[in-house]
Amino acid sequence: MISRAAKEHIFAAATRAALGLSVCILAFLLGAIIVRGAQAISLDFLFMPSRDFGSRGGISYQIFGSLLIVLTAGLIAAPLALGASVYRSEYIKNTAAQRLFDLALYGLNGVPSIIFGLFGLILFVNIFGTGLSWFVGAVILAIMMLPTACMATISAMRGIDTPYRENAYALGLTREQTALRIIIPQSLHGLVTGLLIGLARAIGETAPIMFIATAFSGAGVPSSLAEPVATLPTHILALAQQAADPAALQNAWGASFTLIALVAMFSLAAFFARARLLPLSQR
Amino acid sequence: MPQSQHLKLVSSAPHHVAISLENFGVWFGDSCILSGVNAHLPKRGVTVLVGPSGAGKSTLLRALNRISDDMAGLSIQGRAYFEGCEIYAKDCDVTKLRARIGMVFQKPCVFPRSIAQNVLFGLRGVKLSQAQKHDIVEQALRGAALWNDVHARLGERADTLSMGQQQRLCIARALALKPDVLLMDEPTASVDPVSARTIEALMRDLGRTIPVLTVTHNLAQAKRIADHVLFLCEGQLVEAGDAAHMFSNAALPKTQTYLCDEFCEC
Amino acid sequence: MDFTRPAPPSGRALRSYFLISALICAAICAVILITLLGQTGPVLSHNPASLFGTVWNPNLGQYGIIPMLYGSIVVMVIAMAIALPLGVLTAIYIAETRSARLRGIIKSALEVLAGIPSIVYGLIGVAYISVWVAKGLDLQTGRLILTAGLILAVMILPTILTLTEDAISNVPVIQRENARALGLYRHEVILDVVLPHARRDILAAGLLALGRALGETMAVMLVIGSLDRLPSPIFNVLSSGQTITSKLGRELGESAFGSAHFSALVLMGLILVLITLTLTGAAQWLINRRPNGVEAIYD
Ligand SMILES: Nc1ncnc2c1ncn2[C@@H]1O[C@H](COP(=O)(O)OP(=O)(O)OP(=O)(O)O)[C@@H](O)[C@H]1O
Ligand SMILES: [Mg+2]
Repeated sequence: MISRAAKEHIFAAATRAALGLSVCILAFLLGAIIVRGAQAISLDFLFMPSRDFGSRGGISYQIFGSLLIVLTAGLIAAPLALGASVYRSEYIKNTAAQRLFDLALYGLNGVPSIIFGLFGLILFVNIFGTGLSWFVGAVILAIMMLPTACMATISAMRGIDTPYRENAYALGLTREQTALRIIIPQSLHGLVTGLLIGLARAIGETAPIMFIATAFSGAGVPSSLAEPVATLPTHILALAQQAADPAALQNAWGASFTLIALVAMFSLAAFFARARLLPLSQR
Repeated sequence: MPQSQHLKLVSSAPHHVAISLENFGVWFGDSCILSGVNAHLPKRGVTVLVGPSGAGKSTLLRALNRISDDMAGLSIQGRAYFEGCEIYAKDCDVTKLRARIGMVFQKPCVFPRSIAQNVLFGLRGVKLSQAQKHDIVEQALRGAALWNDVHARLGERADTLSMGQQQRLCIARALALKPDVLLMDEPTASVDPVSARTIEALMRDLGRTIPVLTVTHNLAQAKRIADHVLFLCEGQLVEAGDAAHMFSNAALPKTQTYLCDEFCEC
Repeated sequence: MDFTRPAPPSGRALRSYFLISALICAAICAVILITLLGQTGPVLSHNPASLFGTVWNPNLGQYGIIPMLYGSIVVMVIAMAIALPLGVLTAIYIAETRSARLRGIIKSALEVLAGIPSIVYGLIGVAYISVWVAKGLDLQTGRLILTAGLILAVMILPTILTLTEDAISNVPVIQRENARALGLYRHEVILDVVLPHARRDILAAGLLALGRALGETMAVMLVIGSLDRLPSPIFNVLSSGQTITSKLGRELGESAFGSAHFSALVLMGLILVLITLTLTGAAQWLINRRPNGVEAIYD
């Protein structure tokens, strides 16, 4: 039998080795992305359209398409998340109903991203006959963002002290007026933070939009709702499949770096929005 | 230290001393919590550590069995000896040290296991038969005056016990290791008066065989159980001595105000 | 005074807006399931028995989903077998370390990694990991089940690490201190006090990671090699394979809407959703459940 002291050493060595390995992995991932990305990035790359199926030229249309889709998605998701959160936290008083609503949200959050793509393909592209459309992509991404945005808003609403509500009711405000004047302004930080986190995730998604909203090359600025656009994730996908061509691979790293920079931008915005918009009463 | 002549407890000869502190100090970052403590813990009897809140009583106790080792920013000054060995020496085996210095915390904390498993929790590295285990459990629980309450439900989860019972279980857990010293940080603070009395009697009993160092804010209780008293204030050991001496005619006015004046009223 | 005054019309409009948004949010999950279910008809009426076969050949009307199901499970098992022990051991180190700086650095690095899109992991898999695997094992291609498992392990490591570290840090300090005061070694404190205390949350973290691993598409699709056959011998992870997600990612664009082929893909998607929903639900249930249970008298 191994002595207790020996076991202690073995255990310590194991955790230290695990830490070392994990740190190596983290460092490798960050290092690869930053080094390879920095080599590929230039002003030309960011502001020129792509050529030769993306292996030459820049990614201006891809950046535009990605931003167009996710920002539209944010605009669609915001009112829905706000309304649903108000209803969940101010109107549903029955615990079973609250549970059911939360369950639906958690469920939606757990649905794999490719399934959203499949859903959009069936319902919008085929049954509604929209064809490839960036707007459908935005709708699908909006659906994906809903749980994050709702959960953040609901938890912000939960943070509002009951006396606020009681005072509002005591002043004769209706439930709707209370929601409009007290609840929504006091929980706006939750909504904005949740939406921005949702945007940060949505902009990196490939699987939900690759069959319904994007074209791999040749897409420019759409002139209607029912046209595909090019996006960064699908662009990276296309380039990764031509990984044997060094130029394509180089562009893929550049696009990845840009994509991660956009994700980081939204995440940072979420961080600052949280700090700035938090109402005085909750600071 | 000008006051150091006051600090010597009566029996300061080495073979009568379990723990001794020399110019002992504790710092958290750059704030000094304890400094210049010189004291001896006699080998027998109950020593009560008193002092206002924030005086550093818990800090001192926790430093003695090195429970606070892992706190960020903690640094130790001076020396502390346990049975002649330096506690903060590099080659000191902390685990063995802690097993020999029993500790009971202010808030009872049992592990989410059976009562018997809790009592045996600290016994490691020895192979015990069921009968031996049972003997140890019974002895420790009797020692902690808990046997009569729980002997029929040793298999039940310990967190089903009442607070007072849990505190006594914590004492039993420490006793099962047959410690050479018992440190207790306000052991009666979170229990009802009846359990508190039980624990007081227990401390007196234990004090006959091993040194017990206990913290309390209840001066009446201190008077009931103390053989020796240490008075700590703002990180300094103000005065130490025999209980009778300290409670009736302490040397320093500060001590008198804290210990005696209040007693004059009752 | 009139206490029964009706809500003003704007109030009613607001109220219906709240209600409708709530209904939409609550119903979408069900709508997705129903939409998928509605498309499974053709393959179920065409040749349901072939679904349980191991051959996928749309030209011959054979839609055996076993290879994909097997691939999904094996890839997930590989990922978990690597990421769970690694994540838990690392989390233990981070949670127990005295260095606040190390903890801060690792936590923020993890936050960055959790934000990296899966397609970028796919790119890393293509550019590095599959190349290393091919070189290291001297194989013609590095696009294997093993590679997919490795890349997935890397992807779920941040999730497991963060959640487990939270769970371990949430174990009350007083529990550790009491255990340490009894003269327990550090590893005994961790194994006998901390981990049992945190096990429910760690399990939930594992389930969430499982769900993520099962549902991951892009990274897996790029490195698994897309071979619709069971490997031979069956546990040969050094062969190419296919998961449900990679299959969907590869073939949805090529199959005709309404065909048996398309509906077989939809059916696989439906199975995937049901599995991941079960895992998420179980994780949620574990997190919400109150601790309970009686144990043996002696160890
Ligand atoms: N982890 C810590 N970091 C910094 N300072 C601390 C820490 N723990 C305690 N202190 C400080 O040390 C001083 C002494 O605290 P300690 O807990 O020892 O007091 P005490 O005498 O036990 O008081 P009480 O009777 O209220 O329990 C206090 O001023 C406290 O603020
Ligand atoms: Mg204290």
